[in-house]
Amino acid sequence: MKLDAKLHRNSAPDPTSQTLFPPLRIDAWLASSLLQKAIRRSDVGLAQRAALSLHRARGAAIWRRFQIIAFEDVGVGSVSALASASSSNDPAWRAHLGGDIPTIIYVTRLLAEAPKDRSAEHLIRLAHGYEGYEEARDLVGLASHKDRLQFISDEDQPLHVRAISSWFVSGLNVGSERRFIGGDLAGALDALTSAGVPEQVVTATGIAAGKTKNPMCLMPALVWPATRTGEVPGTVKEHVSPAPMIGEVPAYALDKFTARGKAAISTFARENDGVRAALEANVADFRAYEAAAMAVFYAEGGLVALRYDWQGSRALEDLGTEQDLIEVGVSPGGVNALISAVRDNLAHLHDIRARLHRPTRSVEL
Amino acid sequence: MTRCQDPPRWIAAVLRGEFKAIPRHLCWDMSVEFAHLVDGYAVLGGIGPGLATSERVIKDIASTGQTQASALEIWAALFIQHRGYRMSVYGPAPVAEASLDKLCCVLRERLIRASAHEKIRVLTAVAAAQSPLGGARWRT
Repeated sequence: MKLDAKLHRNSAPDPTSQTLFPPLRIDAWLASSLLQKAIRRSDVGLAQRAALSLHRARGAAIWRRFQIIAFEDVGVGSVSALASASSSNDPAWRAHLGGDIPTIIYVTRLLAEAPKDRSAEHLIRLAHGYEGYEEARDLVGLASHKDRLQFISDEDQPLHVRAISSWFVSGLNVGSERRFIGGDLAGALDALTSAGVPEQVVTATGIAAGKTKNPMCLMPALVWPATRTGEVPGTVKEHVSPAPMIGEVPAYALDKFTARGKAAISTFARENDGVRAALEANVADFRAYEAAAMAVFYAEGGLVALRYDWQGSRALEDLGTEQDLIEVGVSPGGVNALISAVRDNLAHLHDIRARLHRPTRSVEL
Repeated sequence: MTRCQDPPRWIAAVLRGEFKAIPRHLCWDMSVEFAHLVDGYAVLGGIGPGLATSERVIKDIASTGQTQASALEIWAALFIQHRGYRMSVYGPAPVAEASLDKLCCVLRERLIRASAHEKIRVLTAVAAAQSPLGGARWRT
Protein backbone atom coordinates (compact mmCIF):
# COMPACT_ATOMS: atom_id res chain seq x y z
CA MET A 1 0.00 0.00 0.00
CA LYS A 2 1.30 3.42 -0.94
CA LEU A 3 1.50 6.06 1.72
CA ASP A 4 1.66 9.75 1.19
CA ALA A 5 4.85 11.66 1.82
CA LYS A 6 3.50 13.31 4.95
CA LEU A 7 2.98 10.01 6.71
CA HIS A 8 6.53 8.92 5.96
CA ARG A 9 7.84 12.27 7.19
CA ASN A 10 5.72 12.15 10.36
CA SER A 11 6.64 8.73 11.44
CA ALA A 12 10.26 8.14 10.75
CA PRO A 13 12.59 8.03 13.78
CA ASP A 14 11.43 8.08 17.36
CA PRO A 15 12.34 11.71 18.23
CA THR A 16 10.02 12.96 15.50
CA SER A 17 7.14 10.69 16.45
CA GLN A 18 7.58 11.67 20.10
CA THR A 19 7.06 15.30 19.17
CA LEU A 20 4.07 14.65 16.97
CA PHE A 21 2.55 11.94 19.15
CA PRO A 22 3.69 12.63 22.71
CA PRO A 23 3.64 9.40 24.73
CA LEU A 24 1.04 8.90 27.41
CA ARG A 25 2.21 7.96 30.88
CA ILE A 26 -0.21 5.08 31.23
CA ASP A 27 0.09 1.33 31.68
CA ALA A 28 -0.59 -1.23 28.98
CA TRP A 29 -4.10 -2.03 30.18
CA LEU A 30 -5.18 1.57 30.05
CA ALA A 31 -3.44 2.11 26.71
CA SER A 32 -5.29 -0.87 25.26
CA SER A 33 -8.63 0.34 26.57
CA LEU A 34 -8.05 3.88 25.36
CA LEU A 35 -6.91 2.70 21.93
CA GLN A 36 -10.11 0.78 21.30
CA LYS A 37 -12.46 3.42 22.67
CA ALA A 38 -10.76 6.33 20.94
CA ILE A 39 -11.01 4.39 17.69
CA ARG A 40 -14.73 3.83 18.31
CA ARG A 41 -15.10 7.57 18.89
CA SER A 42 -13.05 8.38 15.78
CA ASP A 43 -10.56 10.36 17.86
CA VAL A 44 -7.55 9.83 15.60
CA GLY A 45 -4.91 11.73 17.60
CA LEU A 46 -5.71 10.16 20.94
CA ALA A 47 -5.97 6.70 19.38
CA GLN A 48 -2.53 7.11 17.81
CA ARG A 49 -0.96 8.17 21.10
CA ALA A 50 -2.62 5.22 22.86
CA ALA A 51 -1.41 2.85 20.12
CA LEU A 52 2.17 4.04 20.46
CA SER A 53 1.95 3.74 24.25
CA LEU A 54 0.65 0.18 23.91
CA HIS A 55 3.38 -0.69 21.45
CA ARG A 56 5.98 0.73 23.80
CA ALA A 57 4.64 -1.37 26.67
CA ARG A 58 3.74 -4.58 24.85
CA GLY A 59 5.64 -4.55 21.56
CA ALA A 60 4.29 -6.95 18.93
CA ALA A 61 1.05 -7.55 20.85
CA ILE A 62 -0.35 -4.49 19.12
CA TRP A 63 -0.72 -6.32 15.80
CA ARG A 64 -3.12 -8.81 17.37
CA ARG A 65 -4.92 -5.93 19.07
CA PHE A 66 -5.41 -4.18 15.74
CA GLN A 67 -7.05 -7.27 14.32
CA ILE A 68 -9.42 -7.68 17.24
CA ILE A 69 -10.43 -4.02 17.01
CA ALA A 70 -10.79 -4.18 13.23
CA PHE A 71 -13.06 -7.22 13.29
CA GLU A 72 -14.98 -6.31 16.44
CA ASP A 73 -15.59 -2.61 15.83
CA VAL A 74 -15.06 -1.85 12.14
CA GLY A 75 -16.09 -5.05 10.38
CA VAL A 76 -17.85 -4.48 7.09
CA GLY A 77 -17.67 -0.73 7.69
CA SER A 78 -14.31 -0.64 5.92
CA VAL A 79 -12.78 -3.47 3.96
CA SER A 80 -9.49 -1.56 3.60
CA ALA A 81 -9.23 -1.11 7.38
CA LEU A 82 -9.86 -4.84 7.88
CA ALA A 83 -7.24 -5.70 5.28
CA SER A 84 -4.65 -3.28 6.68
CA ALA A 85 -5.12 -4.47 10.24
CA SER A 86 -4.55 -8.04 9.10
CA SER A 87 -1.59 -7.09 6.93
CA SER A 88 0.05 -5.35 9.87
CA ASN A 89 0.99 -8.83 11.12
CA ASP A 90 3.43 -9.13 8.26
CA PRO A 91 6.91 -7.68 8.96
CA ALA A 92 7.51 -7.24 5.21
CA TRP A 93 4.36 -5.17 4.86
CA ARG A 94 5.37 -3.07 7.83
CA ALA A 95 8.85 -2.57 6.35
CA HIS A 96 7.19 -1.43 3.13
CA LEU A 97 5.37 1.25 5.13
CA GLY A 98 8.59 2.43 6.74
CA GLY A 99 8.66 0.28 9.87
CA ASP A 100 6.57 -0.40 12.96
CA ILE A 101 5.89 3.18 14.03
CA PRO A 102 4.62 4.39 10.63
CA THR A 103 2.50 1.26 10.39
CA ILE A 104 0.96 1.89 13.81
CA ILE A 105 0.20 5.50 12.94
CA TYR A 106 -1.27 4.55 9.59
CA VAL A 107 -3.40 1.59 10.69
CA THR A 108 -4.70 3.45 13.75
CA ARG A 109 -5.83 6.33 11.54
CA LEU A 110 -7.58 3.96 9.15
CA LEU A 111 -9.39 2.22 11.99
CA ALA A 112 -10.37 5.47 13.71
CA GLU A 113 -11.67 7.14 10.57
CA ALA A 114 -13.57 4.09 9.31
CA PRO A 115 -17.33 3.77 9.83
CA LYS A 116 -17.97 1.27 12.58
CA ASP A 117 -20.01 -1.92 12.44
CA ARG A 118 -20.07 -3.97 15.65
CA SER A 119 -22.24 -6.74 14.16
CA ALA A 120 -19.48 -9.35 14.34
CA GLU A 121 -19.29 -9.24 18.11
CA HIS A 122 -23.07 -9.34 18.48
CA LEU A 123 -23.42 -12.16 15.97
CA ILE A 124 -20.87 -14.51 17.53
CA ARG A 125 -22.25 -13.92 21.02
CA LEU A 126 -25.78 -14.63 19.82
CA ALA A 127 -24.60 -17.70 17.89
CA HIS A 128 -22.91 -18.90 21.04
CA GLY A 129 -25.50 -18.22 23.70
CA TYR A 130 -28.84 -16.82 22.54
CA GLU A 131 -31.63 -19.07 23.76
CA GLY A 132 -33.68 -18.46 20.61
CA TYR A 133 -30.92 -20.05 18.51
CA GLU A 134 -30.75 -23.27 20.49
CA GLU A 135 -32.63 -25.15 17.79
CA ALA A 136 -30.23 -23.85 15.14
CA ARG A 137 -27.24 -24.93 17.24
CA ASP A 138 -28.75 -28.40 17.47
CA LEU A 139 -29.46 -28.48 13.72
CA VAL A 140 -25.90 -27.46 12.83
CA GLY A 141 -24.44 -29.64 15.55
CA LEU A 142 -26.10 -32.73 14.07
CA ALA A 143 -25.27 -31.79 10.47
CA SER A 144 -22.36 -33.34 8.58
CA HIS A 145 -19.24 -31.33 7.83
CA LYS A 146 -20.30 -31.10 4.20
CA ASP A 147 -23.74 -29.78 5.14
CA ARG A 148 -22.21 -27.20 7.46
CA LEU A 149 -20.03 -25.94 4.61
CA GLN A 150 -23.13 -25.69 2.45
CA PHE A 151 -24.92 -23.69 5.15
CA ILE A 152 -22.05 -21.20 5.16
CA SER A 153 -22.12 -20.66 1.41
CA ASP A 154 -25.91 -20.65 1.07
CA GLU A 155 -27.07 -17.05 1.23
CA ASP A 156 -30.66 -18.21 1.63
CA GLN A 157 -29.85 -19.63 5.04
CA PRO A 158 -30.58 -17.28 7.97
CA LEU A 159 -27.55 -15.30 9.10
CA HIS A 160 -27.45 -17.00 12.50
CA VAL A 161 -27.40 -20.49 10.95
CA ARG A 162 -24.48 -19.44 8.75
CA ALA A 163 -22.74 -17.93 11.76
CA ILE A 164 -23.15 -21.07 13.86
CA SER A 165 -21.99 -23.22 10.94
CA SER A 166 -18.85 -21.18 10.33
CA TRP A 167 -18.03 -21.19 14.04
CA PHE A 168 -18.43 -24.98 14.26
CA VAL A 169 -16.51 -25.64 11.02
CA SER A 170 -13.64 -23.35 12.00
CA GLY A 171 -13.02 -25.29 15.20
CA LEU A 172 -12.29 -21.99 16.96
CA ASN A 173 -13.54 -21.77 20.52
CA VAL A 174 -15.37 -18.88 22.12
CA GLY A 175 -13.50 -17.45 25.09
CA SER A 176 -11.91 -20.07 27.30
CA GLU A 177 -14.14 -22.91 26.11
CA ARG A 178 -12.65 -26.15 24.89
CA ARG A 179 -15.60 -27.26 22.79
CA PHE A 180 -13.73 -28.02 19.58
CA ILE A 181 -10.54 -29.82 18.72
CA GLY A 182 -9.13 -29.34 15.25
CA GLY A 183 -11.42 -27.71 12.72
CA ASP A 184 -11.38 -26.75 9.07
CA LEU A 185 -10.71 -23.04 8.83
CA ALA A 186 -9.59 -23.36 5.22
CA GLY A 187 -12.89 -25.06 4.36
CA ALA A 188 -14.85 -22.29 6.05
CA LEU A 189 -12.90 -19.68 4.07
CA ASP A 190 -13.55 -21.53 0.79
CA ALA A 191 -17.26 -21.62 1.62
CA LEU A 192 -17.20 -17.86 2.19
CA THR A 193 -15.56 -17.38 -1.21
CA SER A 194 -18.30 -19.53 -2.75
CA ALA A 195 -20.84 -17.21 -1.13
CA GLY A 196 -19.39 -14.32 -3.14
CA VAL A 197 -17.46 -12.62 -0.35
CA PRO A 198 -14.63 -10.53 -1.89
CA GLU A 199 -11.21 -12.15 -1.84
CA GLN A 200 -9.74 -9.27 0.16
CA VAL A 201 -12.24 -9.87 2.96
CA VAL A 202 -11.72 -13.64 2.93
CA THR A 203 -7.93 -13.25 3.04
CA ALA A 204 -8.12 -10.77 5.93
CA THR A 205 -10.51 -13.12 7.71
CA GLY A 206 -8.14 -16.06 7.31
CA ILE A 207 -5.18 -14.13 8.68
CA ALA A 208 -7.12 -12.69 11.63
CA ALA A 209 -8.88 -15.94 12.55
CA GLY A 210 -5.61 -17.87 12.36
CA LYS A 211 -3.72 -15.34 14.39
CA THR A 212 -6.27 -14.51 17.07
CA LYS A 213 -8.04 -17.92 17.24
CA ASN A 214 -11.23 -15.95 17.77
CA PRO A 215 -14.31 -17.11 15.81
CA MET A 216 -15.63 -13.56 15.92
CA CYS A 217 -13.22 -12.81 13.09
CA LEU A 218 -15.32 -14.96 10.74
CA MET A 219 -18.45 -12.88 11.29
CA PRO A 220 -17.84 -9.77 9.12
CA ALA A 221 -17.44 -12.02 6.07
CA LEU A 222 -20.83 -13.56 6.84
CA VAL A 223 -22.41 -10.16 7.37
CA TRP A 224 -20.96 -8.79 4.12
CA PRO A 225 -23.58 -10.38 1.78
CA ALA A 226 -26.38 -9.19 4.08
CA THR A 227 -25.20 -5.59 3.62
CA ARG A 228 -25.60 -6.00 -0.13
CA THR A 229 -29.30 -6.84 0.05
CA GLY A 230 -32.19 -4.52 0.82
CA GLU A 231 -31.54 -0.84 1.42
CA VAL A 232 -28.20 0.65 0.44
CA PRO A 233 -25.94 0.86 3.51
CA GLY A 234 -24.95 4.27 4.75
CA THR A 235 -23.06 6.00 7.53
CA VAL A 236 -24.74 7.68 10.47
CA LYS A 237 -23.10 10.13 12.84
CA GLU A 238 -23.97 9.15 16.39
CA HIS A 239 -23.98 11.22 19.56
CA VAL A 240 -21.27 10.13 21.95
CA SER A 241 -21.37 11.81 25.31
CA PRO A 242 -18.16 13.73 26.00
CA ALA A 243 -16.07 12.69 28.98
CA PRO A 244 -13.76 14.80 31.15
CA MET A 245 -10.02 14.21 31.10
CA ILE A 246 -8.58 12.47 34.13
CA GLY A 247 -4.86 12.97 34.01
CA GLU A 248 -3.92 12.32 30.41
CA VAL A 249 -6.86 10.14 29.45
CA PRO A 250 -10.58 10.65 28.98
CA ALA A 251 -12.69 9.16 31.76
CA TYR A 252 -14.31 6.63 29.41
CA ALA A 253 -11.00 4.76 29.10
CA LEU A 254 -11.26 3.66 32.74
CA ASP A 255 -13.41 0.63 32.04
CA LYS A 256 -13.81 -2.79 33.65
CA PHE A 257 -10.56 -4.02 32.09
CA THR A 258 -8.47 -1.51 34.02
CA ALA A 259 -7.86 -1.74 37.76
CA ARG A 260 -9.04 1.80 38.50
CA GLY A 261 -11.98 1.45 36.16
CA LYS A 262 -13.10 -1.70 37.92
CA ALA A 263 -12.86 -0.01 41.31
CA ALA A 264 -14.79 3.01 40.00
CA ILE A 265 -17.63 0.93 38.55
CA SER A 266 -17.81 -1.03 41.78
CA THR A 267 -18.14 2.16 43.82
CA PHE A 268 -20.62 3.58 41.30
CA ALA A 269 -22.91 0.55 41.68
CA ARG A 270 -22.77 0.94 45.44
CA GLU A 271 -23.07 4.71 45.74
CA ASN A 272 -25.36 5.84 42.93
CA ASP A 273 -29.00 5.63 43.94
CA GLY A 274 -30.39 5.46 40.39
CA VAL A 275 -28.07 2.67 39.30
CA ARG A 276 -28.46 0.86 42.58
CA ALA A 277 -32.24 0.99 42.28
CA ALA A 278 -32.06 -0.46 38.77
CA LEU A 279 -29.70 -3.19 39.98
CA GLU A 280 -31.85 -4.04 43.02
CA ALA A 281 -34.92 -4.32 40.82
CA ASN A 282 -33.40 -6.33 37.99
CA VAL A 283 -30.31 -8.28 39.06
CA ALA A 284 -29.45 -10.78 41.78
CA ASP A 285 -26.93 -8.96 43.97
CA PHE A 286 -24.10 -11.45 43.50
CA ARG A 287 -24.13 -10.54 39.79
CA ALA A 288 -24.71 -6.82 40.23
CA TYR A 289 -21.14 -5.72 39.53
CA GLU A 290 -20.95 -7.65 36.26
CA ALA A 291 -24.30 -6.21 35.23
CA ALA A 292 -23.23 -2.67 36.10
CA ALA A 293 -19.96 -3.08 34.20
CA MET A 294 -21.78 -4.36 31.13
CA ALA A 295 -24.30 -1.50 31.31
CA VAL A 296 -21.41 0.98 31.54
CA PHE A 297 -20.02 -0.56 28.38
CA TYR A 298 -23.26 -0.05 26.48
CA ALA A 299 -23.86 3.43 27.89
CA GLU A 300 -20.34 4.66 27.23
CA GLY A 301 -17.40 2.47 26.17
CA GLY A 302 -19.13 0.75 23.27
CA LEU A 303 -20.43 3.94 21.68
CA VAL A 304 -19.26 4.74 18.17
CA ALA A 305 -19.15 8.18 16.55
CA LEU A 306 -19.67 7.06 12.96
CA ARG A 307 -21.89 4.06 12.46
CA TYR A 308 -22.09 1.88 9.37
CA ASP A 309 -25.79 1.28 8.97
CA TRP A 310 -27.15 -1.58 6.91
CA GLN A 311 -30.60 -3.13 6.83
CA GLY A 312 -30.84 -5.33 9.89
CA SER A 313 -27.84 -3.90 11.72
CA ARG A 314 -29.93 -2.09 14.35
CA ALA A 315 -32.02 -5.16 15.06
CA LEU A 316 -28.87 -7.25 15.44
CA GLU A 317 -27.36 -4.68 17.77
CA ASP A 318 -30.50 -4.51 19.92
CA LEU A 319 -30.67 -8.29 20.23
CA GLY A 320 -26.95 -8.53 20.93
CA THR A 321 -27.11 -5.83 23.59
CA GLU A 322 -30.03 -7.52 25.31
CA GLN A 323 -28.27 -10.89 25.17
CA ASP A 324 -25.10 -9.47 26.72
CA LEU A 325 -27.03 -7.99 29.64
CA ILE A 326 -29.15 -11.10 30.14
CA GLU A 327 -25.99 -13.25 30.19
CA VAL A 328 -24.70 -11.29 33.14
CA GLY A 329 -27.94 -11.75 35.05
CA VAL A 330 -30.16 -8.80 34.14
CA SER A 331 -33.85 -9.66 33.84
CA PRO A 332 -35.05 -9.21 30.23
CA GLY A 333 -37.45 -6.47 31.26
CA GLY A 334 -34.75 -4.53 33.07
CA VAL A 335 -32.12 -4.18 30.33
CA ASN A 336 -33.15 -0.74 29.11
CA ALA A 337 -33.82 0.55 32.63
CA LEU A 338 -30.30 -0.37 33.74
CA ILE A 339 -28.56 1.10 30.69
CA SER A 340 -30.63 4.29 31.03
CA ALA A 341 -29.81 4.58 34.72
CA VAL A 342 -26.09 4.31 33.96
CA ARG A 343 -26.33 6.75 31.05
CA ASP A 344 -28.20 9.29 33.18
CA ASN A 345 -25.56 9.10 35.90
CA LEU A 346 -22.32 9.04 33.94
CA ALA A 347 -21.28 12.35 35.53
CA HIS A 348 -21.25 10.61 38.91
CA LEU A 349 -19.14 7.78 37.51
CA HIS A 350 -16.67 10.33 36.12
CA ASP A 351 -16.48 11.98 39.57
CA ILE A 352 -15.71 8.64 41.18
CA ARG A 353 -13.04 7.90 38.55
CA ALA A 354 -11.44 11.28 39.23
CA ARG A 355 -11.59 10.64 42.98
CA LEU A 356 -9.78 7.31 42.60
CA HIS A 357 -7.25 8.70 40.15
CA ARG A 358 -3.59 8.42 40.96
CA PRO A 359 -1.05 9.33 38.30
CA THR A 360 0.63 6.31 36.78
CA ARG A 361 4.38 6.03 37.14
CA SER A 362 6.10 7.50 34.14
CA VAL A 363 7.22 5.01 31.52
CA GLU A 364 10.44 6.02 29.83
CA LEU A 365 10.82 5.52 26.13
CA MET B 1 -12.74 -12.36 67.85
CA THR B 2 -15.98 -14.36 68.01
CA ARG B 3 -16.72 -15.49 64.49
CA CYS B 4 -17.74 -19.08 64.97
CA GLN B 5 -21.16 -18.52 66.50
CA ASP B 6 -23.92 -20.37 64.78
CA PRO B 7 -25.81 -17.49 63.13
CA PRO B 8 -29.22 -19.16 63.00
CA ARG B 9 -29.29 -19.68 66.78
CA TRP B 10 -28.69 -16.11 67.79
CA ILE B 11 -30.57 -14.72 64.83
CA ALA B 12 -33.60 -16.74 65.82
CA ALA B 13 -33.34 -15.18 69.27
CA VAL B 14 -33.08 -11.69 67.77
CA LEU B 15 -36.26 -12.35 65.81
CA ARG B 16 -37.96 -12.98 69.15
CA GLY B 17 -36.70 -9.64 70.44
CA GLU B 18 -33.89 -11.07 72.56
CA PHE B 19 -31.23 -8.58 71.56
CA LYS B 20 -28.87 -9.70 74.32
CA ALA B 21 -28.31 -12.78 72.17
CA ILE B 22 -26.42 -10.65 69.65
CA PRO B 23 -22.75 -11.67 69.98
CA ARG B 24 -20.73 -9.29 72.07
CA HIS B 25 -18.18 -8.87 69.29
CA LEU B 26 -20.61 -8.47 66.42
CA CYS B 27 -18.62 -7.08 63.51
CA TRP B 28 -19.07 -6.29 59.83
CA ASP B 29 -17.84 -9.67 58.73
CA MET B 30 -20.46 -11.61 60.69
CA SER B 31 -23.40 -9.24 60.33
CA VAL B 32 -24.75 -9.92 56.86
CA GLU B 33 -27.65 -12.18 57.90
CA PHE B 34 -28.44 -9.97 60.83
CA ALA B 35 -28.42 -6.81 58.68
CA HIS B 36 -30.99 -8.30 56.35
CA LEU B 37 -33.54 -8.88 59.13
CA VAL B 38 -34.82 -5.37 58.37
CA ASP B 39 -35.62 -3.79 55.02
CA GLY B 40 -33.40 -0.73 55.31
CA TYR B 41 -34.72 0.78 52.11
CA ALA B 42 -38.27 0.73 53.51
CA VAL B 43 -37.15 2.04 56.91
CA LEU B 44 -35.18 4.96 55.49
CA GLY B 45 -37.58 5.93 52.70
CA GLY B 46 -35.89 4.44 49.65
CA ILE B 47 -32.44 3.95 48.21
CA GLY B 48 -31.50 7.62 47.79
CA PRO B 49 -32.46 8.79 51.30
CA GLY B 50 -31.16 5.49 52.68
CA LEU B 51 -27.71 6.03 51.21
CA ALA B 52 -27.57 9.56 52.62
CA THR B 53 -28.67 8.51 56.12
CA SER B 54 -26.35 5.53 56.11
CA GLU B 55 -23.33 7.65 55.20
CA ARG B 56 -24.22 10.22 57.85
CA VAL B 57 -24.61 7.59 60.59
CA ILE B 58 -21.29 5.97 59.72
CA LYS B 59 -19.54 9.33 59.66
CA ASP B 60 -20.99 10.27 63.08
CA ILE B 61 -19.97 6.98 64.65
CA ALA B 62 -16.50 7.04 63.06
CA SER B 63 -15.80 10.52 64.38
CA THR B 64 -17.55 10.56 67.78
CA GLY B 65 -18.38 6.95 68.50
CA GLN B 66 -22.07 7.85 68.73
CA THR B 67 -24.99 9.01 66.58
CA GLN B 68 -28.32 10.77 66.98
CA ALA B 69 -29.93 8.13 64.77
CA SER B 70 -32.34 5.64 66.34
CA ALA B 71 -31.49 1.95 66.76
CA LEU B 72 -33.74 1.13 63.82
CA GLU B 73 -32.02 3.71 61.61
CA ILE B 74 -28.60 2.33 62.55
CA TRP B 75 -29.79 -1.16 61.71
CA ALA B 76 -31.13 0.13 58.38
CA ALA B 77 -27.79 1.83 57.76
CA LEU B 78 -26.04 -1.51 58.26
CA PHE B 79 -28.48 -3.10 55.79
CA ILE B 80 -27.76 -0.35 53.23
CA GLN B 81 -24.01 -0.92 53.54
CA HIS B 82 -24.30 -4.68 53.13
CA ARG B 83 -26.52 -4.30 50.08
CA GLY B 84 -23.97 -1.94 48.56
CA TYR B 85 -20.96 -4.15 49.15
CA ARG B 86 -22.80 -7.16 47.76
CA MET B 87 -22.95 -5.19 44.50
CA SER B 88 -19.25 -4.48 44.55
CA VAL B 89 -16.32 -6.66 43.56
CA TYR B 90 -14.40 -5.35 46.52
CA GLY B 91 -15.21 -5.46 50.22
CA PRO B 92 -14.71 -2.37 52.35
CA ALA B 93 -11.18 -1.01 52.63
CA PRO B 94 -9.60 -1.55 56.09
CA VAL B 95 -10.48 1.95 57.33
CA ALA B 96 -14.07 1.64 56.12
CA GLU B 97 -14.36 -1.83 57.64
CA ALA B 98 -13.22 -0.49 61.00
CA SER B 99 -16.02 2.11 60.84
CA LEU B 100 -18.51 -0.59 59.95
CA ASP B 101 -17.32 -2.71 62.88
CA LYS B 102 -17.98 0.30 65.13
CA LEU B 103 -21.43 0.65 63.59
CA CYS B 104 -22.19 -2.98 64.53
CA CYS B 105 -20.93 -2.38 68.05
CA VAL B 106 -23.05 0.76 68.54
CA LEU B 107 -26.09 -0.96 67.05
CA ARG B 108 -25.81 -3.88 69.46
CA GLU B 109 -25.56 -1.54 72.46
CA ARG B 110 -28.50 0.55 71.28
CA LEU B 111 -30.70 -2.47 70.71
CA ILE B 112 -29.94 -3.92 74.11
CA ARG B 113 -30.65 -0.59 75.81
CA ALA B 114 -33.70 0.24 73.69
CA SER B 115 -36.77 1.57 75.49
CA ALA B 116 -39.94 -0.48 75.29
CA HIS B 117 -41.35 1.96 72.78
CA GLU B 118 -38.26 1.78 70.57
CA LYS B 119 -38.16 -1.99 70.86
CA ILE B 120 -41.70 -2.19 69.53
CA ARG B 121 -40.78 0.00 66.58
CA VAL B 122 -37.78 -2.18 65.81
CA LEU B 123 -39.66 -5.45 66.09
CA THR B 124 -42.48 -4.11 63.93
CA ALA B 125 -39.93 -3.32 61.23
CA VAL B 126 -38.35 -6.75 61.64
CA ALA B 127 -41.76 -8.43 61.35
CA ALA B 128 -42.61 -6.39 58.25
CA ALA B 129 -39.33 -7.40 56.66
CA GLN B 130 -40.04 -11.09 57.27
CA SER B 131 -43.23 -11.02 55.20
CA PRO B 132 -42.91 -12.26 51.61
CA LEU B 133 -43.02 -8.65 50.39
CA GLY B 134 -40.62 -7.40 53.05
CA GLY B 135 -36.85 -7.24 53.30
CA ALA B 136 -36.52 -11.02 53.19
CA ARG B 137 -36.63 -10.67 49.44
CA TRP B 138 -33.24 -8.94 49.47
CA ARG B 139 -31.58 -12.04 50.80
CA THR B 140 -30.24 -13.77 47.72
